[in-house]
Amino acid sequence: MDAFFSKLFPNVASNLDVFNAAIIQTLQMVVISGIISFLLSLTFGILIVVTKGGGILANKIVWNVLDKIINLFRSIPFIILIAALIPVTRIISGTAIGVKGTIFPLIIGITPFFTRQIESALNETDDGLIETGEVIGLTPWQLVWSVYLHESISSISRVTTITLVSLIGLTAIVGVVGGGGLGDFAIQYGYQQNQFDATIACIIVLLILVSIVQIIGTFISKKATH
Amino acid sequence: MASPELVKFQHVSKVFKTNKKKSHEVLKDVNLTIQKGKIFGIIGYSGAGKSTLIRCINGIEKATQGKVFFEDKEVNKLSKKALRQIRGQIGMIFQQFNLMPARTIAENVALPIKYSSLGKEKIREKVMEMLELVGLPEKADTYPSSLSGGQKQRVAIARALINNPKILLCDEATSALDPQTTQSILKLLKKLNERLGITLVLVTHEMQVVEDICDEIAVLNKGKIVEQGDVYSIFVNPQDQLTKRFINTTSKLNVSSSLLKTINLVRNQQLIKITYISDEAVVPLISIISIKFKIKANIIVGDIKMLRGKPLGGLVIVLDGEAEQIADTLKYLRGQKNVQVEVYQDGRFL
Ligand SMILES: Nc1ncnc2c1ncn2[C@@H]1O[C@H](COP(=O)(O)OP(=O)(O)OP(=O)(O)O)[C@@H](O)[C@H]1O
Ligand SMILES: [Mg+2]
Repeated sequence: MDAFFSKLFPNVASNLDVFNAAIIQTLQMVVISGIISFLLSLTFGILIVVTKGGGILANKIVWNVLDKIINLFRSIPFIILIAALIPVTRIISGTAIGVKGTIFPLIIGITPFFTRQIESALNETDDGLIETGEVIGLTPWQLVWSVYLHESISSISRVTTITLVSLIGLTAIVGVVGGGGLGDFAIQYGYQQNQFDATIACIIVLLILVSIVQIIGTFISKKATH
Repeated sequence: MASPELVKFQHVSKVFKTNKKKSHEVLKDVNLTIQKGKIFGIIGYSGAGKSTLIRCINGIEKATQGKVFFEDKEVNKLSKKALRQIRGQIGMIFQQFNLMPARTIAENVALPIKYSSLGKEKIREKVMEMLELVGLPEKADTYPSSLSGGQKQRVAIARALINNPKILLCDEATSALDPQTTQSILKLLKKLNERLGITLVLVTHEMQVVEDICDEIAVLNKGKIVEQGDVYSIFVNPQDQLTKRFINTTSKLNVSSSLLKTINLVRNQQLIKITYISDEAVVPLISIISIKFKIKANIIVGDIKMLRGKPLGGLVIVLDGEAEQIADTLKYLRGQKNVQVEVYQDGRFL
């Protein structure tokens, strides 16, 4: 097995420690920034749904501010965003490089997209169900919890899957600017040193990662559909 | 002493602003009173404002002008919190049932008391009690997607009743159901009204529903109440054109002109229509006139039914006899207080 692997991926085998570390770094980036941006996006998504015109806590100002900020950040290409954020990243994370330095830009990069995804998932909730919640005397937050969120578990898990796949893509980009991870590995060994097997190995690992995310997402989504 | 009035509308208007310049007056100076324990029907065509009207009762819509009272509380003046409390006493069901798809039947029914101080066991007990009441205890742990429309509406009724409300608002509750299921839901509603004394407000565009279970009705036309009163008097003596049109939908007495053309009236025959207009004792008119005036009376169409124990409907008949006999018969019939006689002339009943 080892011999077979060394033959197929000679350059990966000789840098196995670095490769393994890159996998771990990518996982750290995805998990940490994924969890934080999930919580942020859920909060913003809920806020934007309840404050929109005709919403259960309609509030033009809050809605407008959120809407504009999201649109602003979504219009900046990620690679430029990373560069623009460097001073802030330094203040928040203490460094702008390594896994530690990537979390903040990753969160800022993915949260606007994630928020829009959550918003559309929550908006799928039938208006009749919201009205029913009001008719039976639920408070706005009970409505959010027991109707909006409870009825959207399946859609939320679907959009989370989509977002995580995008996030995996972003972790490869931050690698280029010194963030480490599989993107960094593919560029350093595969691209700059012309070791094509290194690139292929990165692709395979990323493919497996995406597949796992998708299988879990589909499973939860199915489980929550009755 | 509690007043027998449960809901009262005083000069209620509702205006929706469609944009900065345009607005749409959906309710216009609505006045009505719904008594405790009654089944009150609100009928009107689509867009008449029925849903808007019924939603003013639990404050989902706010009247632009005028006052809506629930008992002694003015609904449009209540704080959000007070409004939520009052909604516990006002159940509501919808055309589309609005069950939460991701919750089991039992969880759906429990939703209104989920955040109350009741313990889990007490809640389950109440849920089962409600499901017994609507006849679906065995479905407690299944999901709404496995139920038929009629069963879904039963669950919605159970959910609406779990807080022991004083009134149940039904917005087109049977409009998505087939006639047979409609009947079974109406029967259930009637049973709830009789057993629990719960007041019902039924919004519908089907006169049959009103005929089947309502005590009182209000006819809504483009946001205005054009007629209201007890069901029998409105059925026997409708004033407004719209009311007449609605009543005609439940009557088979409206012989089409094409059918009338096929009736070949020969000399000495007269087509007439007799309709009941009051609840005085029903007399066997046909046999009386045939004996008394020696006239033949052929029934072309007959539609007599009992509405809350009182006769409703009538007959279309051909009188066959000498001109004098026919005249005497008509005179006799016109003298009867509980019927109205119309004579067919120039292609219509006069
Ligand atoms: N939120 C709203 N904003 C603007 N117009 C509205 C709103 N809600 C209802 N309307 C308008 O008010 C009118 C009456 O609506 P409503 O739903 O009360 O009618 P309805 O009698 O219940 O009709 P249907 O039988 O179709 O349910 C309609 O013309 C509708 O377009
Ligand atoms: Mg309606």
